[in-house]
Amino acid sequence: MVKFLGFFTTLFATPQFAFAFTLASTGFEGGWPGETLSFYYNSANCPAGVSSAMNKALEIWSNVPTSNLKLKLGGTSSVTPAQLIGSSAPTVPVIVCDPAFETNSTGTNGDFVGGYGFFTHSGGKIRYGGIVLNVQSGKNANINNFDASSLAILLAHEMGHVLGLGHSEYQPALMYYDISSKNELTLSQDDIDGMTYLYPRDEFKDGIYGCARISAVPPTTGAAALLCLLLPLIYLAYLRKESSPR
Amino acid sequence: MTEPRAVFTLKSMRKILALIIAGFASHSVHAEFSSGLGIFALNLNRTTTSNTAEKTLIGPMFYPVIVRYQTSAFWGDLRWAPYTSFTHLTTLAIKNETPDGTAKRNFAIVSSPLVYPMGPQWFLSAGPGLMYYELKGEGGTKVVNNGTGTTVFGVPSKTRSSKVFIFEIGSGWQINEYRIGVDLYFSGLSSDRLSTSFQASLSRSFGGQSW
Repeated sequence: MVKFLGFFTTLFATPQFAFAFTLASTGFEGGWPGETLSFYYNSANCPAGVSSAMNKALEIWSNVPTSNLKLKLGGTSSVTPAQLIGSSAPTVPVIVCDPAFETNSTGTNGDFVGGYGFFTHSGGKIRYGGIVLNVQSGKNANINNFDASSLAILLAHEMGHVLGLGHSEYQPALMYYDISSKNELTLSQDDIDGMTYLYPRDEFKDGIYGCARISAVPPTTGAAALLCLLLPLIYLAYLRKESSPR
Repeated sequence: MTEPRAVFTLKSMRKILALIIAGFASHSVHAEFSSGLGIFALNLNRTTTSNTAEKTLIGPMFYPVIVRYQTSAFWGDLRWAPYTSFTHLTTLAIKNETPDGTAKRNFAIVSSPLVYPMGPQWFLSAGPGLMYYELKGEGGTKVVNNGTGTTVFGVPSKTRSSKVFIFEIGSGWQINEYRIGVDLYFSGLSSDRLSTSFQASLSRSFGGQSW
C-alpha cells in the first residue's frame, strides 16, 4: 500500500487556532460543550478499515492525562457529504466518505488531501463539525490506498481539527501539517497541551479519577492497589515500633 | 465552559509556603526543612519527540524548585514529609515553553508522602498528592503551513490549568545534609488516562536532625 501524501486542510473552519499547537480559529478558545463527545459515522462508500481506525483515533484523544474530554462512537448516521459540508447535518460531529471529494469540497486536491476536519463555532464554543474522507476513484490520496496505520493517523489528525486544534509547527506532533513521516499513532506533549488548553481536567471539580464523583463510584482496583502501597511502609513502621525497647 | 482560575499563582504559592513554614517551624527540634532543585519528566513513555512518532521514554523536561518539610518519627520510624515542587521560579531562568515558544508551561506538585528509613541513609516514601499543570498562551495569530498553502491560526491567549490527583512512590538517600531523591508519580490511577512522571532531586537540609 502506498504511503499517502499527508497534506491536510481545514477548509471550512474560520481561521485556525494553534500553540506550537494552535487553535483552529481566532475568536474562540473553548472546545465542544460538555465532557463527552460522540462521533457519528456514515459507513457508506467507506473502506472497511475506517471503523477500526476511528476507534483508535477516539481512544488516543480520550486518554490525554490532563484533559477531561471523553470521546466515543455515537452510532451510525445517514448524513451525506453534501449535507455535512452544507451545515445541515442533524447530528454532529460526523465522519463521512465522499466519492465526489473534489467536487463537493471546492479547492481540495484529491491527489494530496486524504481528508479534512472542520468545525464552526459560536459563543466561544464549537457547535458543528465533521470529517470528510477522500474516496474519489483515480485520486492518489483516496483512503482506499492507505494502510491501517496511516488511516488511523489521518483520522486522529482530522479529529484533532474537529476538536478545535490547528496545525503545529512541531514536527513530532500529530497536528503537524504533514503526517506522511509518521509510523505510529502517538501524541506529542504539544498535542496533549492543545487538548489540555481546550478541555482542562480538574479533578477537584470533576471528581477524583474523572469518570464520576468519588462519592458515587469508589476507586477501582488500579487505584486501590496503588493506594495500598502505603501499607508496607506503615507495617514496617509498626514492626519497628513494636520491637523497639519501651 | 467556565474558565478555570489559576489557584497556584506565584503570589499565592509564596503565601502558602510562608504559612507552612510558620506553622511547622516550632514543631520539633528533630524536624527539618530542605530545599533544592529537581529534574521532572512528564508523561513517561506516553508521548513522542520523534518525527516518525515512535513513543519516547522521556518527553519534555522541567526543572522545579523543591521545598520540603519532614517531621521527626511519630510512629515507629515513620515520618511525614510534605513538600512542594514547582517550576514557577526556575522558569525565570529556564524557559518552560511549547516548542515554538508561543506558550509557557508550568507545573506544581503538592505531595504528602510518608517516609520510612530502610537503613542509616536510605529511605522509601509513598503518599498522595496533587499536580497542577498550567498553560499560558501569549495570544495573537500565527501563520502555519497547512499542506497546500498557509493558514492564519490563533494562538491561545489565556491561562488554563489542569489539576489531577497523583500518588507517588519514591526513594532517597540522605548523605550528611544532602538529600538525593527519585520519585515516580502516577495520575489517572483507575482509568485509561494512567500516566507516570518522574522526578530526581537534590536538596539540602536546614536545621533539625535528619534521622
